[in-house]
Amino acid sequence: MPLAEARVGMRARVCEIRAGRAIKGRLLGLGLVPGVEVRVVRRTRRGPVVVAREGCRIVLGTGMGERIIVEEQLENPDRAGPGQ
Amino acid sequence: MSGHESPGISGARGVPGDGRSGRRIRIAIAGNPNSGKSTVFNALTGAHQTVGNWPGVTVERKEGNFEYRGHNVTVVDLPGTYSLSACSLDEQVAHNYLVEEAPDGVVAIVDASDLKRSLYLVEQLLELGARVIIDLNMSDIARSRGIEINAKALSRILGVPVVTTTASKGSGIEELKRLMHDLVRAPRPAFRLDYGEDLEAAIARLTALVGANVAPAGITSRWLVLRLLEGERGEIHHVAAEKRAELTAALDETVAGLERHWGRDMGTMIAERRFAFLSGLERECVRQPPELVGRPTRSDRADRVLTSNWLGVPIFLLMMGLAFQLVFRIGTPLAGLVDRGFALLERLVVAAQGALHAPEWVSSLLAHGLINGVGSVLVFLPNIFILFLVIGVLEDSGYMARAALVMDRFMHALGLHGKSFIPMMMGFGCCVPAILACRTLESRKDRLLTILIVPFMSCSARLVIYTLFAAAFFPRHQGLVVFSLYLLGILLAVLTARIFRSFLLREDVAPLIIELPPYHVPVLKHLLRHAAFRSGMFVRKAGTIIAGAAVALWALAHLPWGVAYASQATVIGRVGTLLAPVFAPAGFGNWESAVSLLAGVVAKEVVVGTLGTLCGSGPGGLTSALHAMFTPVSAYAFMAMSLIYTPCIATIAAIRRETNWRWAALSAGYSLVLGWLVAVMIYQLGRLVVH
Repeated sequence: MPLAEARVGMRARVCEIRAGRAIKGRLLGLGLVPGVEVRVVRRTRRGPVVVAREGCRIVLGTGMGERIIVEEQLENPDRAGPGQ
Repeated sequence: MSGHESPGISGARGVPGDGRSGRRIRIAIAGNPNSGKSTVFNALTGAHQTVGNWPGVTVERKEGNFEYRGHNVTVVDLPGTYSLSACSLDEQVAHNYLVEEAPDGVVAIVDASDLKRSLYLVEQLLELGARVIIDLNMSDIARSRGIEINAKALSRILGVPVVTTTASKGSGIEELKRLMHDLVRAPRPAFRLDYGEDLEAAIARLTALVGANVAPAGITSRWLVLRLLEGERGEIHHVAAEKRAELTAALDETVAGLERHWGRDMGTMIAERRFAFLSGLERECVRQPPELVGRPTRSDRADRVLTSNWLGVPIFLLMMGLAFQLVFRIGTPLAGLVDRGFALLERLVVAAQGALHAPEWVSSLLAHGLINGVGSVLVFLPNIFILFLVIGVLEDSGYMARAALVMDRFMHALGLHGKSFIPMMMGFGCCVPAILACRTLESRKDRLLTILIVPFMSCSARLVIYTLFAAAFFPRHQGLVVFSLYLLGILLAVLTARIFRSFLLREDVAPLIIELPPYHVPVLKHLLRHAAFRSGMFVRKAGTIIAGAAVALWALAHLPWGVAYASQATVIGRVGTLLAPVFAPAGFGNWESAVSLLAGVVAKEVVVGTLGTLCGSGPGGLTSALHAMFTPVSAYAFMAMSLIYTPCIATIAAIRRETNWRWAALSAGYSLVLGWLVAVMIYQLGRLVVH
């Protein structure tokens, strides 16, 4: 599902980022790559989304929520990274 | 591996590691934004630092130094970046410095609370072949979350020295200084990330094609190939010219083949491999009590209120209102003092002329021309200094990022970036700092667009004009009239944004992607130093231009010799008479208005001063003179014109400095035409309604 549709508090794994190289580059620098787990902190209808990835809080501005595809993580046994 | 294979690394300043006394060691500090980088920089260099700009760009450059065992170590604070890719101006600056100026080493500030992300940058530094020291900064956040890091393991895996510091308390700084001093003698890092079989095979193939001789000597061919694979095709200029065509073809083929094979793009794949390695590294080195994982921090709790869906915007507006109160409540009385100072200076000059029997034109040039002109701009220095101080507080406390967040949706609807709101708000104070504040926007087009619309914000100088005319013509609705002009400015800004976005700066708004840093209490010393630097720039740049313009205006109001000062017979009076018919359709076709608008380009409040000189012998006289020249409708049209038409010279100069002459000219020309159109429209429609 697009991140824009995730509910607040949801744990989600990033599946795909649909964006150009420049935007992707910025997201990569913040540690948002496919496979990483995030928690949805704040979300407004058609507005920006804030996600938490470990210690940092990342603002994804208006329109970005549709371009990041995530899947909900129901179980969260430990905080092990995404691995490969 | 051989440690000193690249003699170019320290150039003519001496052979690395010869330990000769007095040799300058140059070390850069790199790290993520908000990683505590400036705290470490300040702890290392103390007061021995200078602030400037990186050449050609408007990113601030801080440099400092310290002595260690007779050696002078220069520390260059790189802009805070998340990676060395060239996505933003900051990243380009950091990257270019490391590649082209090749410092002796790099201290990488690593935030213990988010090791993986911090190490993403470190990994790129190591890949570049830089000698790195990792400075593990134990932030309060890391401590409160109970994070423990095995520095020994980290040092072993990456093959670089690791030092743990708490810069705010000064612990670990001596050890860091020692490591920095010894760094020039350290071998080049042996670190090499394994990108997996398929990618490594491609890297090997392309590296062979590049060959060994890449320039400058500081970089390696492996690093270059990775950059090219990531899509930084500009880097190909490091390769010998005759090989470029062949290399480009091989790159295209490799990238296309692998992307087809993986079903995802090369950039993502490379980043994923890096993060996979860093995740493993994190598992190896970081321990955190499970009960503290994901626990909300104090900043999280504050954000639940400050950025909440309902309260976020009202709180933001309240903060801005408060900031304005500060700027004007404290700044304006101080501005009054500066004003009195200049008035005193003016009188002194006139008195000195009498005593010294100097020709009268000399004292007139100094007093009426120079001191008056420069003074009318420097009067705003207190407001500007406080404005920068307030912005500094908002930036350093971490609130600025929240402001961008809560305003993002609204601004997006206008075709602007969330961060554009801040310069626009500042424009109500003064457009010069507001235009400088546009630097925080990463995308060039967003920056240009914001710079173009900022002058439509009614700055405090325009308020002087509004106050005069509203009191003279709309005594019972002063507040309403002034407020409507503020609204008109905002409306035109939005309209302009729309127009330019769809014609000249066609591009989707770059989405806001920022980190919300934890809240901090700002340090007063740094705030003052920063505000002083920024307002000093205002004094220097605006001052020189204004001084020139003031003298020119003075001369034009005097020539030709023999006619009365500022009369219709002077050059400026004749120019006014020539221009006046242009403004006739807007209802103010008299030569005095034309001259005052012309003079207002020096600084908008000069409009009032000029009108006073030309047609009023005293404050009471001016009002009645205005009544003879304007009707209420034409007065409103004149106020609208004063708001919209060509921004003042200081603003144009700021626009030119931040962009180039072409954009400054566009801004000046566009607003002149728009101002005229709006004024004519107001006058013609207004006449229909009134009669």
